[in-house]
Amino acid sequence: MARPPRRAAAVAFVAVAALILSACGGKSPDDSGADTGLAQQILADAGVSTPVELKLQYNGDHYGSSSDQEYATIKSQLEATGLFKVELQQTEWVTYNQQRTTDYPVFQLGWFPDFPDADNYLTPFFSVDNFLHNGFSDDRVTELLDAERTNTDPDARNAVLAELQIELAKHMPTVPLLQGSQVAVTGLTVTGVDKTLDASFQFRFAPIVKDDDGTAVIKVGTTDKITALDPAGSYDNGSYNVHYQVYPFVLGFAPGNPSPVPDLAESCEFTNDGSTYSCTIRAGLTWANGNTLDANDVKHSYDRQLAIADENGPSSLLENLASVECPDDLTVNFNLTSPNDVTFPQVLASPVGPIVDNDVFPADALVADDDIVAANAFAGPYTITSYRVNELIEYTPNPAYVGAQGAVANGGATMKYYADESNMRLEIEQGAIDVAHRSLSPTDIQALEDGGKVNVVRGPGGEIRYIVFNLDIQPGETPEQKVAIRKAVAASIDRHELAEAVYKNTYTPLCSFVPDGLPGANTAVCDAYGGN
Amino acid sequence: MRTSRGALLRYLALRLVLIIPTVFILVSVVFFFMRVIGDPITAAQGGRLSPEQLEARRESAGYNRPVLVQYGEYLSQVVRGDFGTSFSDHRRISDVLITNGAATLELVIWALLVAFLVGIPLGRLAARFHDRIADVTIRSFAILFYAAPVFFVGLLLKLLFSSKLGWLPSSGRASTDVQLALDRQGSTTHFMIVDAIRSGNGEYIADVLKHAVLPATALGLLTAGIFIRLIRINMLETMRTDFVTAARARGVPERKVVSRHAYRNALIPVVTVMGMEIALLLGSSILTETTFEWKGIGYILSQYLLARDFVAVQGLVTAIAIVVAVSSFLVDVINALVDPRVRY
Amino acid sequence: MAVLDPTSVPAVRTPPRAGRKIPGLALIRSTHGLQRAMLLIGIGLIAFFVVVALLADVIAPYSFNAIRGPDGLFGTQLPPSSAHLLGTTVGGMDVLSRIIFGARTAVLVVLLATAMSIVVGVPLGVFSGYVGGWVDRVFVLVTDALYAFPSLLMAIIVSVMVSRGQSSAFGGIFAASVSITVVFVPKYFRVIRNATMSAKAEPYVDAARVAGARPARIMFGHILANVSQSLPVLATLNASEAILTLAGLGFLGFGIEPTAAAEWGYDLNKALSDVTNGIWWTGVFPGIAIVLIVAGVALVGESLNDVLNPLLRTRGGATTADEAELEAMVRSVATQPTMTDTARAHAPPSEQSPAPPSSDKEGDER
Repeated sequence: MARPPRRAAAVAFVAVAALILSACGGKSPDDSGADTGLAQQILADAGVSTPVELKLQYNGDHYGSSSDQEYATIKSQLEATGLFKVELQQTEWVTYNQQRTTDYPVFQLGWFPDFPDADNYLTPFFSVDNFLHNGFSDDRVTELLDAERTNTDPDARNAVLAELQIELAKHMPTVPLLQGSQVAVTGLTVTGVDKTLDASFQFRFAPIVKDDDGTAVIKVGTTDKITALDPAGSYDNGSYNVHYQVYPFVLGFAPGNPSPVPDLAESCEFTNDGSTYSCTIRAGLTWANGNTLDANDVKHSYDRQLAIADENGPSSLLENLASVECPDDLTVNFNLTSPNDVTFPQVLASPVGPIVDNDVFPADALVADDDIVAANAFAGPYTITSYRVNELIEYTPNPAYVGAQGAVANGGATMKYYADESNMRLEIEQGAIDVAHRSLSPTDIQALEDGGKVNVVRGPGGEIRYIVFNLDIQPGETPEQKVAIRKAVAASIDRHELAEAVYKNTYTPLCSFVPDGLPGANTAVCDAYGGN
Repeated sequence: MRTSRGALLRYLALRLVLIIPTVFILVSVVFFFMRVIGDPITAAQGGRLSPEQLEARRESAGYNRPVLVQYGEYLSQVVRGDFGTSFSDHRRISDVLITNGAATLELVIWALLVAFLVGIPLGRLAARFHDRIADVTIRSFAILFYAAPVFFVGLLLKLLFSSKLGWLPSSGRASTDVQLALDRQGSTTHFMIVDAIRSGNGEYIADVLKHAVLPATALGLLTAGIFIRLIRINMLETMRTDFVTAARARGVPERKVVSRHAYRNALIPVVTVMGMEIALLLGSSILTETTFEWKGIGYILSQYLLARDFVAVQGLVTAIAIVVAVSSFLVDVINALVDPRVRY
Repeated sequence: MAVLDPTSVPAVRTPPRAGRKIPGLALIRSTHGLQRAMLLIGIGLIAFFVVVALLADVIAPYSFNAIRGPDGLFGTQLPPSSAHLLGTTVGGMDVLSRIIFGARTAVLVVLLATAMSIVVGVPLGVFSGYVGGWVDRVFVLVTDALYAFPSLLMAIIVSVMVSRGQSSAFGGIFAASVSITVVFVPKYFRVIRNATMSAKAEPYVDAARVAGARPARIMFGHILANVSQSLPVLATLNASEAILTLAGLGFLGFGIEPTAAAEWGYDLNKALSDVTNGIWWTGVFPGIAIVLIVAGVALVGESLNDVLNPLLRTRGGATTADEAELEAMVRSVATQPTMTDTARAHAPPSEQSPAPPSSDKEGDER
């Protein structure tokens, strides 16, 4: 429908609203997250004529069904300052994902970390050849990124990270908005979920127990989707969650510990002046189908990721990996392009890290889901014994598993896939499933929490939401004006209001580039633009 | 019957032959619709690959050839019964057709059952109390059944019977345990209820039936509205025919007139209409499937459309076109054999 | 209504009518009793929604995408109150205002879809019927095939094609309209083509041709007379299916983005999780709006079908009315919706039935 013609009444209404707003001098930074005065100042100093027209792009479902509301609210916040005129455009995900890097001046993105480290929120976004393709590069930032990645002293590294974020706040190529926490809803007799909602951001079934009965099968529900069981063919939450239960890793996460620990490995260390990361694999391991599991499988898995380099796969995480060698059956050497990369152990425990059976997975082609299940090529805490893609999966404990996730505390698990969150909400309340993981709507979570028929368990979250500017095509005549516009947007957005009104505080304001809770996080953005 | 047996056979033969152009036209229309947006690789991956990579992929998959060549190749694939492999999740389309097709067919059969159970008695009642309050009420209901979108009816049904009363499950085709047990039986027919009956376990059967109630009701009420009208009108017709009048004159009680003469005749057209409904419901239960997590053809098709997986969409649409064309032929056959009023 | 079949109205039997009076009034007069009540209720509902759509700017308390008043945000999921008569949505928009503006979207789609269907379907039908021969056969074959295909599926495919994944107000409305058009063109085509065929066979058309008059002119009058009974009924079917398809597209997420326009199907989808949590007002009211407007159109369509059928003219005679309706039904069942016409196109002209086959498709696409 065409925008309705403005009748006199509507015009009058807008005028009155604007008057009232200007009479109040905008919103003060004390009682809300926005600082209109500052935004006005920034734009005026750079000589930007207002209102600035922004065409803001977003997608309505990829980042949860609340995106519509989130962006309607952002539009209203920006326009309430009188400094912006926002045109919203919603685009379906496939198209959105294609066009965002080239066509969109300002757009929504979300990030779910590959591994729980500050670097995963910085290098992918702000390095010269970043995945946003937004034309941002800054020498000082690049220098700090390199320094941060190779600094082996944690305290010194955190100092670099803090400085880096303060530096980035002067450029604001992205505007951080919100940070999600992990939420799972469980039946009243279900325990152990708190052991998996930790700072490693991995949802594992192993520690969950129902009715204090170690043989009960745990029924889990999700709205995520599986793209592929083959780790080289998918790079998304839904698929990775399956991989995480059934494939081993060289390094993995133990419950409650955000730092990688040996999984298949016995030990790992930097050798060769830091340019090699060398791991010793445990002896005597086998796949669930009886095949031998050793260093050759590890080399095969990483070589395969690099060889296939599927566009839906995670091979981009292996940027710093030059080659893999296996001098013997129990040793694997990862040769790195830039030495002493402190994030490399994390990469081994990330979506690119699942190890696959070299007798089942060919070196240069993806394997179909059903073939993987039929070959029983699993060696994680569980094996898959029944598989209907995006409908229902049955997981049976793998007695041979001795890795980082620890002993399986239940008699198995099932994962049911829902197309609609409200159906999952009804089933968790009725007890048809024991755990509802990702993602219930904020309304559901609030109502379930108030209802008392289930437990709502929360854990620290690494998921973030932010706005990206494409520096090449964003509004603004000079680089200075462009920076001013980005900063003014940052100052005009009220993160508290977004978190409360849209997400009912299931998300919290994100005050910097690295989310709160991770080593190296600070509040650089809110310090500069209000909203603390 | 006006025409000879030969004419009938000739007509049916013609109808049989016409299945081919019908399918051909639908497949062509969809093929070219899809190509307006772009080839499957550009549609799914454009922008995520560099232009060179994209071109390499298009070349290796043959999408850089003239569209007409690709079109010819696709047609020859379809003729061989090869629907291809989906782009987004690497599944064989023929597998998808079997699993999800069975689900849709099962839903449609349940829905028709509801339509019969609701539509026939109500239509009969409406005819019996013609032009009185009962008639008007029932006709109004028929209009409401039509006017209410299935997702709205589904929402209200779920709210009442699942959320408030807790009598029935809100979504899915079976409980987790039951579905796993049925899958474990070995060779599955993909029809939940058939598998449940094969298991011989009463609880499983009850569970599958309970899951079918709400979706079948939501979809069935739509068709019930159609049946109400059909039965009502056909009964009114036969009740005015000579032999009914004669029966009345002979002193046969009105109730017997209704049940013995009018009702039986009124059922013939319902059978024919049902045939057409199956073809339509088969492809069109998409909203019901989405509302109730009933993972059938319509549901999976909308998922593939959102993923811009045009290989999968083409395969599914082709299959639906075949089903539609074949069922409309079957209906014509039944019609020609059963109903003397058909002119050919 | 689905079974109610406009195309089977035995149109040929009506002589061209001249000197019409006020059509609506005549329509109402020709009804009786309960039939009249149904018609009046239908007309009332349609009139109500049309007025609401026209005056949306005046009567709606807020804009359809307003989430902020002078005192800040409205608040989300507020129950009905004096400030928000029907409450607010999960996105913090006023439910009443969205329903009012939603009426505008619905009416726009109906107008656009009907207009496009007629503009495409009518000339095509006249052309095909007039030219005849193999051109006609091909047209009939193609439209029959399209007609047989499930219309919501077709609508989704077309909307993906039209919108290219970008939701916008015009794009959404246009996509819904085009999809309805694709489904309805075969229906208009069928009616018009058959009317043209029968007009061509009329002796006086031949006579006029012999006399040197332009046959096109004569035929036009004849065709118009023939279709004047079935087109309005077809249009009501077109209208109700347009609304349901728009809502279906919105519900499935192929529709219109909320800040661009208000759309009931979208609102219902967003309300799914509210309703399961006891927040009924965000979902129930848009749902009722859809039911009411479609029911209104269906009531009028049903009455039109009865009234415009010449056999129903005898007033007060419920018997004849039903007999006529019945005749329509019998035809709709006895003649085939998809293929028979094609088959007939291959048969000698003398065997061609003037009554086109039925359209039993409406309303099943959910």
